[in-house]
Formats: sequence, structure tokens, C-alpha cells
Amino acid sequence: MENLLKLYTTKHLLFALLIVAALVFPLVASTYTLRIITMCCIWSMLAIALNLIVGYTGQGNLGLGAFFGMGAYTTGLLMVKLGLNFWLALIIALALTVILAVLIGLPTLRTKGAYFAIATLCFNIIFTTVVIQWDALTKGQTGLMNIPNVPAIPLPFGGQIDFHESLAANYYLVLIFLILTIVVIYRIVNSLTGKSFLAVRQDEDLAEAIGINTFRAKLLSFTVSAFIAGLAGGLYAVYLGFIAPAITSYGITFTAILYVVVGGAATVAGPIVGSFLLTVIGEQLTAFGTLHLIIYGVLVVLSIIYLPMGLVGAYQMFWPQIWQKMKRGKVHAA
Amino acid sequence: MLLKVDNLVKSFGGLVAIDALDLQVNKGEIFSIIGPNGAGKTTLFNVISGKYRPSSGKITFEGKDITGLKPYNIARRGIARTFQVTAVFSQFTVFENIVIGHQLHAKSGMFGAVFGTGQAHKDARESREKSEKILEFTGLTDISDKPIANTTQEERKRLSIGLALATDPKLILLDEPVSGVNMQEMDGIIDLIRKIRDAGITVCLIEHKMRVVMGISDRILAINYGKKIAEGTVKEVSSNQQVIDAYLGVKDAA
Amino acid sequence: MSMLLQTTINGIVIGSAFSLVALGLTMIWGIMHISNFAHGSFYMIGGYVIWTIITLLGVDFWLAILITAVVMAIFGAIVERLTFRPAEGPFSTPLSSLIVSIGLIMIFNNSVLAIWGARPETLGAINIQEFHFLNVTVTLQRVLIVVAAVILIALLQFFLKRTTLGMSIEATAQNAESARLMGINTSRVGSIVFAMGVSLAAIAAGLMAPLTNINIGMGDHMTTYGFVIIILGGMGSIPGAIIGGFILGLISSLSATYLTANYYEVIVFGVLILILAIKPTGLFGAK
Repeated sequence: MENLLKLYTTKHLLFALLIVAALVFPLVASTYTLRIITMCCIWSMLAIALNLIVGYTGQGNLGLGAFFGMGAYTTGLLMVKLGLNFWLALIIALALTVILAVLIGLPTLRTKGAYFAIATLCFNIIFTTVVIQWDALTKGQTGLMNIPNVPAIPLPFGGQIDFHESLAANYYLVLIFLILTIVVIYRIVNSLTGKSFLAVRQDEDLAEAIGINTFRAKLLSFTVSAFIAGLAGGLYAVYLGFIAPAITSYGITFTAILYVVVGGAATVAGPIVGSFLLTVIGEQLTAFGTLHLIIYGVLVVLSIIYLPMGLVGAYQMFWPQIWQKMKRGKVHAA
Repeated sequence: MLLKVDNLVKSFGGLVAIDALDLQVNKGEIFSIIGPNGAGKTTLFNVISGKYRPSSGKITFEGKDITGLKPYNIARRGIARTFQVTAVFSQFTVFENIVIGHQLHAKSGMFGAVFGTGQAHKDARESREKSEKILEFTGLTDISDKPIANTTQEERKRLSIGLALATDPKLILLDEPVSGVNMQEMDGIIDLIRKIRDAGITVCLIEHKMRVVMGISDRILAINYGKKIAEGTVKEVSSNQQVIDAYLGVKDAA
Repeated sequence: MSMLLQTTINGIVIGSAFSLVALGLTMIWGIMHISNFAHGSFYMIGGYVIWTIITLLGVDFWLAILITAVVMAIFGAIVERLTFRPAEGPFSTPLSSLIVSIGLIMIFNNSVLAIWGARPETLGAINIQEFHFLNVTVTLQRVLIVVAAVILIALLQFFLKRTTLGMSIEATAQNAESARLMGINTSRVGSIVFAMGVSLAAIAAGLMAPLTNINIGMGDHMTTYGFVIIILGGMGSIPGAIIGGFILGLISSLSATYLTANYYEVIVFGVLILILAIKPTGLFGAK
């Protein structure tokens, strides 16, 4: 019990430290670094979304890029075409993303395994095709430009948070949504609902036999995942001010899968660790010029061969053993 | 009468697995289904528990028609089951398995958990308390934190029964509960089955081992080729000539 | 009428390439349960290899196809040994092979970019003799693509049904465990099948090369189309892949001509989702 308490508090202390670090980060970071870290936060949200349906619920959804794109394009279009402010646009975009998710989830979730993966992949290709071809609305391959900033938030004692000038303000905005997402996901996966997602992944027949409506559980996970992806997309649109059809493609899903698996599937921290690590490594590798994506690819293959359960997964599996050995070692030494 | 099956037929393509079968299970009894391999026993369980839709016929539970309901709905009505190939959630601990078994009684859903509502906390607490009781009942308290990979076959057998009990069933369907365990462990599980009955839960089981069936059953149904050969008390069934020919006779000869 | 005929012929030509690509994909799935999302990249590399052999060595087209087939088979076997094979283990999931594929796509596409550059290559005039009938024009190359594909498929059938090695592949596909007990080296079978799959994709790319140009993106659609075909035909099914390949070729050709040139992919992939919603295991799938 005492050990448990210790573990519990260390975990929370670590989390608190990380948040403090994240909060003071803009004070010490260069503009370049801050830009990359802001993108890391957005990719983390997308990876968290993917992890819920793929990692926890075991359904290989290859269509998440479409929901990211749905969030981004709907937010962007509502702001550019109708002049709505960001918050209203985001809320409408998320509502539409959820509706789309239910409409796509209902037919595709009837399939299982590889069939589900390909069905969702097809949906994603359809979505991207429509975004490219519906030129009058989306500006096609040119992309949607000049998406306005988040409107300035007035402060109670004068002054305002200005999203046009301040990179830090945008960073904090994305960070707050990331932290919210982490808290929500943490609560979901530790709840009975989250356990029923895990149960569906492990054995669908058994899950049904103990009263879990597996189709409903999958649809719920699929929809929540799409909602978070849409949120990440909306933030992406307003942060960069420019979106192109490529961000709706299944390539986006593949990137997120990479982050999740390298970080550790079905763990809360895994997708975040994966997103930050791979984005930062990717940036560092650009020093190698044209070779950098080849090296990146080699690293990806090596990581799945040598760390199949991901960094966080490996940590969770081996750390207790190492810890035990270290403790025993101490006893011997004493 | 708790469960009533009328004129049940299940066929796969042209193959008839269950042929115009009637049976009834009374409240508070241990009811066993016997028959040679391929007689349709597991298929019968799969139809009752909703995994397969019957081709025709009617299944009534507590006076209500449950024919063709989905498995999760049947579980919620109060029929739990175990599987022949011992099925537990292999990536959960023993305790987590039982907790998830009780989740169908949770009144709060995902949003309750996200916003940390009182109902969500109450549900979590209740499922923990219930799970501790079940662990105690099934004799698994000592290994409650063990991952499934480190458990024995017997512990998994008990756990699969515990998982079914965690749903708070009125009727529990056990598919070969003592297969793959040694003699001593078998006695322990037989005791557990009696304990379940004594706790007021009706038991329906499929079993090959005649010693077990004859020892604990209140009533027995013997089937072959999906058809009923006999139904009645141990004495009635074991003296039935057709049963002896189809099943017991082979055993005796062996 | 002549347009319908022309479109149908085009569909059969594309369908031949689809069938060859899907055949490899379905065999790799059936034997190894690998989702080889890098299949289109192998197809693309096949295109560049044949271009190099013809342009730099001045070799005859059909000899070049043969050399490409052999070179790519060896290449495929090596890649399989170095990546997909070691990624299989107690902790691997269905996602593992997808991650390997993503890594390979990055390595392949950027290596091709580094070696051949971003500019598309063309083979120039090969088999451009034309046949005219019923107001339809067909080049010799198009006829040869279909003929070559049909011969290859027939040879493959013969190989699988009549040779010892082929039969051990079939046995492994049906039940790897009992194949192992029968003394079949299933690991070797896996390598051979992967090599064959890659080789088939490269041959398809080689056959199609005179009709289009060779570029980095030429394989992207081949992967998704390949998976659509084998899902329709039932994963692991060889007849399903052959028939599915021609059906998809016809659907995409006809819908691009008659329905909508811009949105024909919406129709092709939309039809697949609809079919799966009604029959969740595919048209020819079990259960």
C-alpha cells in the first residue's frame, strides 16, 4: 500500500513538473523550437485519438486523416467563407465531424480486422478526392489560405491575449487543448467504459457474453477518436492559417500510427512520447539533406523490430523487473 | 421454470445441428446436458446465449421470449456463460477480469467518467466491492493481482466462472467446466458449482465426465445428433436404454 | 458503341496489371499474414529498374522484363529477410507489418528520388503498331500486356497446382501448422512467396511502362487498389484476386469515361464500402 502511494505520488509529481516545464517553455525557447513543439502538441492529439480506436479498442482505423481534415477544413471554411469566429467555427466543425464519424462508423464497423482497415482507408481516399475535386468550395490542390487567427481574448485588468502577434499565445492555446485531451483520455481509459474497449480488443465473443454491446463500444470509441482528431485539425487550421488536401489524406493516419506504435500503443503516454520524439528526430535529421527521410525510414523499421511494444510499453514491461533487481542489489550491498 | 426451449432447430447450410429440441431448466437446479462429441451441446449453448440465431423455435427465459436477442442483451437479462476453450481477458489481471464482468450493471457511462460524476464513482466502487466478493467466492483472492499469463489452467477455469458470476446472472451456462484439470482440482470446481447453486443461481452445464455429471446433477438432458434422447433425474436418464447405447455404453466398453 | 468497346478494352488492360499486383498481395497475405502496404513502392521500383535496363543497357523489352522479374525477386527476398521477418515476434501485432511498410515506403521513395531524381522518365516507342477494328484503335503493347498477364497467371496456376514447391505453398496457405508438421520449411516458403509477389508487381510495372511515364507516385494507387481487389475477392484467395483485378479495371475505366472523370475514385471506393456494409467479409469471403 505504501509502495502504491509512493508510485501514485511520483507519477503525479512527474506530471506536475512536466506541466510547469511546458508552461515556462516559451520563455526560454527560440521561435523555431516553439513552432516545432506547437506542432508536436497537435500531432500528439491526433496520435492520442488514433490510440483510442486502434490501440485500446483494437480496430485498425485507417481513416482518421479524414476526420483530422474534416475538422481542419470545416473550421477553416466557416472562418474564411462565412466569417465566423474561431470558437463558433470550431464548435460547428466538431459537431459535423461527429456526425460524419457516426455515418461512416455505422457501415464500416460491421466489418472486422483487415476488412475494417481497408474500408476506412477507402473512406479516407474518397474524402481526400472530394476535397481535391470540389474546387469551388475548397480551392482544390491550391489549398485554403488566409485562415484568420483566433480572436484576441481581452484580459480582466486591461490588455489582451493576441493570437496574431504572439506565437506563445498560440502555443498555450494548443497546449491547453492537449492537456484537456490527456485528462479526458486518462479518465476514459481508466473507467469501466475504457476497460470495455480493452475487452473488445482482446476477445469480442467474451465481451458480448458478459453484456458489453461491442458494436456500440466500437462506435463510441470511433466517434470520440474522430472528435479528438477533428479538434486537432481545427487547431492545425487556425495555427498555420493554411491547409491543403494532403492533410486530409491517409498519409496523416499512417504518421499517427507511427507515433502511436513507436511510443507505445494502448498506453496514455505512448502517443505523446512518440509524437514528440519522432517529430524532433525528423527535424534533426534534415541536416542530412535528401538522405534524411531514408534514415528516418530505417529508424522506423529498426524500432518496430527491436521495440515492438513501443518505448512506453517496453518501459512498463521491463522497469518493474529492473527496479526489483536494483533493490535486490542494494540489499546485497548492505 | 426458468428457461424453456421449444422445438428449437439450428442448421448450418444443410447440416442440422439441433433438431426440434425441447427442454426446460427449473429454478435452483443443476441441469446437465450430455451427449457424444458433435451431438450439438455447444451449439445449443451458442443458440441460447445468442451467439447463433436459431433457424426456428422459441427460447423463453423467466416467461419472456428471448429468441434471437444479441448475446449482450441475453447477458443483461441474466444468462451468463463460459466457453469450452477457457476464455478470459488475457491482457487483464485476475481482478480486472472480474471488474469488467460487472460493468453491465454500471449506471454511468463514458461521460460520467470524464466529468467524474458521483454516479461514476459509485459504479466504480460497487464494481470493486462486488469483484472482491466474487474473488472470495471463487477462491481467487490470493491471486487477484496476477496477470493471466502467470495463472494455472485451474485458476483460469475458476476465473472464467467468476467472470460469468460477476454479471450477477440468474442462470449460468458452463461449457465443460472441469476439462483439462486434474482430479483434485476437479473436486474443487465441483464444490464451486454446488456453491453457485446453493447461492441461488441456476446452473446448466455441459460435461463429458460421467462421474461429475452423475454426482452433481439434479436433472440431466441427453442428446445425440441434435435430438433429445432422454430428460429427467439422474436415475431416470442413466437407466434409459438409448442413453446407454449412445453414450454410456460406449464408455463402459472402453 | 465504339467508345464502350474502347473503354472496355482499356479496362481489361489496366485490369491485367491490377490482377498481377493483387495476386502478389493476396499470396503474401495468405501465407504470411502481412499487410504489405509497400507493395506499390515495389511496383514503382520495378518501373525504374526496367527503364534503367532498357535505356542504359539497350536490352530488348521482353528480356528487360525477365531481368527485372529476377532482380526484383531477389530484392524482395532480401527485404523480407531484413525487415518483415525480424519484425515478427511475440510482441508483434497486425500493426507491425504496417509500420515496417511505412518505413520501407520512406526508404524506397526517397532512395528512388536520390538515384533517379524527381523528373518522370519515359521508355519511348515500344510496340506501337496499331490495330483498327470496329472504330477502335488498340496498340500492340496493350494486346501484349493482356496476353502476358494471362500467360503469367496460367503459369502461376500450373506452378501452384503441379509442382512440389507450389503445392507446399498451397499447403502452407491452408494451414501453416500442419504444413510444418509435414516437413515443409514454411519460413522458406514465406520468402519465396514474398519474392514472387514483388516480382509480379515489378512485371506489372514493366508491362505498363510503355503506356505511361515512370514516376515516384506511380505505385501509390496500386497499393490501395490492390487491397480493394483482395478484400473484394476474399483475402488470400487467388481466383478472387484475378477476377477482382479485372472487375476493378473495368469499373474504374468505365466510371472514369461514363460517370465522372474527377470523382471516379469516389465511385470505386464507395462501391467497396457499400459491398462491405452489406457483406462484411467481401463478395467471395467465407461466412
